[in-house]
Amino acid sequence: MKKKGRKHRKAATGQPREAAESALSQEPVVKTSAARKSVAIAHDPAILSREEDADQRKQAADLRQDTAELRQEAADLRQDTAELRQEAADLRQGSVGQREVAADKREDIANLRQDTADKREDIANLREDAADLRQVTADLRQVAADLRQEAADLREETATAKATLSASTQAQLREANERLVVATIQAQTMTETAELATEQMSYMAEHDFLTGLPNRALLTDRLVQSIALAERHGKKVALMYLDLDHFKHINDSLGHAVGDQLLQSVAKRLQTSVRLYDTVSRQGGDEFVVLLPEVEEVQDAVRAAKKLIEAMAQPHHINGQLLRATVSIGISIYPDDGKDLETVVKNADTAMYQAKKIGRNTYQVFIPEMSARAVARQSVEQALHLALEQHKFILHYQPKVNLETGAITGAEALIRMKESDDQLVGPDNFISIAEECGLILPIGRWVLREACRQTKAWLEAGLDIAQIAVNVSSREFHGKDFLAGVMSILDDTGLDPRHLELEMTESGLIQDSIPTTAILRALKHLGVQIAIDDFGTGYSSLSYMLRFPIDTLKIDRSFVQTLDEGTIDKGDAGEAIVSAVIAMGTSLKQRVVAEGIETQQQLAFLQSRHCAEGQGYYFSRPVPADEFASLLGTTLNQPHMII
Amino acid sequence: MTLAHRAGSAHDATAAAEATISTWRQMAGLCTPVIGARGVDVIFRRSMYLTGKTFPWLASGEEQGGSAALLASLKVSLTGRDADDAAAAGYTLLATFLELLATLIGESLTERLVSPVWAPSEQETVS
Repeated sequence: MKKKGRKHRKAATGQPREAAESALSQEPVVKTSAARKSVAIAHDPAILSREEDADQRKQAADLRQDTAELRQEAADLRQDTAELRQEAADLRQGSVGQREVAADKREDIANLRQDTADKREDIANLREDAADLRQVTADLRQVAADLRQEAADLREETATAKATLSASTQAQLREANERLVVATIQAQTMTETAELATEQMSYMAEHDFLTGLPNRALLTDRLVQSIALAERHGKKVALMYLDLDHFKHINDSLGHAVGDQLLQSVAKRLQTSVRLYDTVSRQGGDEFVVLLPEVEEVQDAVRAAKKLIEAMAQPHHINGQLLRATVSIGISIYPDDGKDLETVVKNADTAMYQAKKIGRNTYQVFIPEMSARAVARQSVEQALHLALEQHKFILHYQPKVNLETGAITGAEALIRMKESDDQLVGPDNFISIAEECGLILPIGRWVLREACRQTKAWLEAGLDIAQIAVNVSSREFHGKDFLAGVMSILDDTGLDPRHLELEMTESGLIQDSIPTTAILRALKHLGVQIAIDDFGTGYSSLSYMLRFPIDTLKIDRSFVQTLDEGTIDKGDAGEAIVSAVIAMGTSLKQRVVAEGIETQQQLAFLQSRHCAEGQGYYFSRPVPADEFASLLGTTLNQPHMII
Repeated sequence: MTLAHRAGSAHDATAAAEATISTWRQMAGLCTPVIGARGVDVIFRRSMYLTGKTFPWLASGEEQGGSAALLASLKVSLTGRDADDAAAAGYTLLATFLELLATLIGESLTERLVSPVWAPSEQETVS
């Protein structure tokens, strides 16, 4: 193994195998030469000895040994060489495979190198891309940096702008707040106003504007509730219908303002004269209704009515004046006098009219008979409507006579209504109802037109009639367009206004004196004559005699009738009044016409007092137009034949 | 600081009126930068109107003319009453003003605005 080691070391040095073999072959040659030299010395007879022999032998042995060893080494070398050759062969053999593998490997390596080259190229490309991206990123970073800079600049600018605008912005904000506050408060105010208006409207819908009392609507509501309660508790409900007596006269003579104040005073007094849970309501005009819920019997209502009449007996202080206003009361009881609301109210109204009829300032409890009279009144109203539609009105004419000569000076036109059987109904039976229901306006207009038309016809026929007198109610006179209506009728009929005389009552004139005066003056300006009818019976003063342009005074028949014998006390007073009126008229240069002359004695007295004119049954009843035409031109100083 | 403090020890209508008007002026000064002079004026007039429902003798707030005329009218109304009436009406007027203001800008801001001149205890009493 040691020899092998040497041999391997030499091989490991990388020396070629032939050189190694050469060295092996030369080394024994060197050692043999040296041995030969030593042997030559020993054979010298002089110096040779046994030691030299021994040395030589030893050297020869060593040489042999060395030679053996060399041989062994050579053998080993040969063996090694063989082995090496074998190994070389093996190696060559393996080398072939390895070369193939190597070739494959080289190919693989070539491929790998190619791949690597590709990869490197790719990497190079990627690096290039990365470089580009880095460049882009760098650019973007630059842009971002620029933007940040710009943003910073903007912030700085904004801050500067804010600082600059701060003062004006605050002012604008304050102004905005101010507007919002003002608008909100105004909205609150408007909302409150609207709510208040709604409340007021609701209140007004249920209360009378003038007196503040519940109106018809609220009364109806409370009456319904009272009836329901009364049914539940087995009791009764009383309804009192109140109407002020002669309120119209107060209104006419003192004006609507005073009339309204009186109504307010009456309302207060009524309220203080009933129980807390009673209801006083105003129905309109001078009508009131008092509701007494839960009464036991009709006498409870009677006691309440008496209390109200007593309370109303005290005068009212209005504008420094003491005014008296009595009431007429009608009482109706639920369920005795009606099973429903409408009937109870209607029957109380009917009872109130009955109280008026029996003298006013009193009460009446409804009884069924009253209803019949109310029905009759209703039938008259219907008849009036029918007469207007079917032209069932006609005029009769009562002559006015010169009391000295008996000559006819004119006539008073008086309306009649034809019934279905051609019977005539006088004005006393329907005029008051016509006034109540408002039909007086169309009826009055018809009377005026017909009287003017007829008079014009008589004049055109050559008949001599100085004047035609037409009665005008207060409601007509103070109605809308009265003056225009008169003018229109005069135009239409062609009657000279001087032939027309309008007769009005004192109370009809004394109302809103300024408009009254204006209308009267306008009529006078046209030429129309003005007469005061029923003079002396009205609720008025004499001052209007100076204010109004009055042409004629007509002495009321009630005074003339006192002139007869047998009415001594009244006769004296009547004579005094009649004499005074005649004297006053004469002094004021007004015509005086005595109405209702029915007897010779009356005529004689009037003649003795120089009363200029008169009319009455003594001369003639009212007669149809054709009969009156036949009277014209005659004298009527004797009782007329047609009486 | 309460109205009573402002009015001092003098228990009379004039002191109450002056305390009311003084407090009002300070409140107006604090509120004007936020809601403007017109805003303050309109709320004050509304307060006068509402307070007038409880104190009918108080000036109605419907007077024409500027705030000065209104304050003069208020002063006349307050000094014409006895001290208790004047103090009660003045307090109610200011409290009503603050209530209205609070409904418009909120209680928190109202308290912050007027706290220098209106005692919290009084505001609590108002609400």
